[in-house]
Amino acid sequence: MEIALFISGVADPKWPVPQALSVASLQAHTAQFAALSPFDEAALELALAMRDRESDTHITALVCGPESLARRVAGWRPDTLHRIDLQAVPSWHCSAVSDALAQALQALAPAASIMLIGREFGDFDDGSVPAGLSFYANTPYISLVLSLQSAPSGWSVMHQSANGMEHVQISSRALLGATNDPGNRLRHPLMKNVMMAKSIKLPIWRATAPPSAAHVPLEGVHAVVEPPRSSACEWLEGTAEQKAASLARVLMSGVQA
Amino acid sequence: MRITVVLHPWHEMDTEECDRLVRQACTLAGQATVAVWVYQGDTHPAAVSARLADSLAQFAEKQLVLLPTGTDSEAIAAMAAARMGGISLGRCSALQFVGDALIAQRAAFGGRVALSLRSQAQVTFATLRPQGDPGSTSATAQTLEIVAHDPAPFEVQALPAGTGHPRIEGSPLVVSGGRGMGGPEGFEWLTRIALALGAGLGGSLPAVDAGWVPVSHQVGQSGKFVTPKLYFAVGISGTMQHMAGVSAGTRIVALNNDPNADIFSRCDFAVHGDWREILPLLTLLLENQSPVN
Repeated sequence: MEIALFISGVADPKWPVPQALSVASLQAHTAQFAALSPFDEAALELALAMRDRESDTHITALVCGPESLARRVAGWRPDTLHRIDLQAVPSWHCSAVSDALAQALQALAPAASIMLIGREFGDFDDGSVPAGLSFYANTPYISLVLSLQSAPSGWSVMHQSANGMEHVQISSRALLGATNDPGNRLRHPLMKNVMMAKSIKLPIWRATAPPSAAHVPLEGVHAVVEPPRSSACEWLEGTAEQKAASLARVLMSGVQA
Repeated sequence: MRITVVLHPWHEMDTEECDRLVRQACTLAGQATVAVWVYQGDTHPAAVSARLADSLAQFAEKQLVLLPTGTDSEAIAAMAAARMGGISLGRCSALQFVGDALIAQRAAFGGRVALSLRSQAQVTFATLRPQGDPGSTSATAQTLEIVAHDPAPFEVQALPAGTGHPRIEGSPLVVSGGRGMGGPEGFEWLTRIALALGAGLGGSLPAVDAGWVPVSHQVGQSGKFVTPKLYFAVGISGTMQHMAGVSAGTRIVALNNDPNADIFSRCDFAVHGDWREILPLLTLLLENQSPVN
């Protein structure tokens, strides 16, 4: 069984975004402070857990981030790892990113039967990239996946749907959008693998921009400023009992309003 | 120009918000035609996206397709856009036509950066949660109900509900916990408080990560967007990623043991203190005078 694992990376949110905002400064910021997103971590752990259970599982990691991120992922010892260079594709153009990822999949892991990807792909996406990828890769998509298990006729997936939790039985190729859950919390890598990852060779696959990439020019980028407060904050002071009583009054008034 | 608003069974906006989305479309329309397509029946997002793309392909003029925000809306928009060779702008906060081009505002980097995008595509998709009152317009929309029966591509088995956690969708009051709760015990108190108040129970991404509350209760940029009158945030620092999931019109009540937590610069009522001391007392008070009990 072959798993293709897409890793986007994000800029570590602990670091503030640059004051002089531009596409270039954001790219540099992302490269400098690259980290796995919670959804990258979930996808990676789902792949590793499947390999633990099924020893013939082969994981091909496709890392769309800087070298430092690719080496970090290599510390979990995927069977194959490629860096995907998306410099030619506008990050904010989700359709173009999806198209490029489908090309990478076709070139680097065409035999993959399970494709794992975080439910949001990087700092510019809020869920469009995985869905678009499912179209370009011509494969069904299951979003908000929490767990993946082998089943007699394929795989069993637990996911969060709009109607609640569902078990889905998969018998053919599928793209799974992983979400964070305590059951797929990323394990720590083994130190020997982390050390080996420092010197591993990382092949790069360079994406070309699809023709549609020119259809969404970026007009501007600016920092979000929180809206000014419309009223003063009221501090509820006193002993713990007094604070609890004040909170009860405020919350009850909210219910009764 | 033609504008189509697409509603489906899985969107995460309430009826009032959907009405505002339609009014927003009418306000945007100018001389454009506005249609509202309501998909119903036993179907799934990929099938709706395919049906939608096929139906939209009959129109020769430039098109804007609007959907309410939500995970499945973003998936439908992205898949339909790919199928039509169009553009999906994702989750937008504002849209405006300038001449023939559509200018969209949307967030990136966990809500810390705003992008202004220009679409010149023949067909542009966007999900939108209208901000405020869209205003009055003389334009009207024609509604078409589409009943679809599309078998799911996989065998699906619903799991029993009943996590005991009250839902956050549509709740006028949401009680929410974050990393500062330090463990699942605090969520037991929060659940009792939510039940006593008839409120929804929410959590931040770190709380969901830790397994203290299910992912369906996650509030924030990557979770649900809530619009309660009151949002009781306990042990939540108030990052932009989290606050992006709370309506600007919501009054915020914060309890945190860090006096420098960002949430205290955003809230209407602030309590500095340890939830371990205050929540048990609060729970007993509310359970004794609960409007629900």
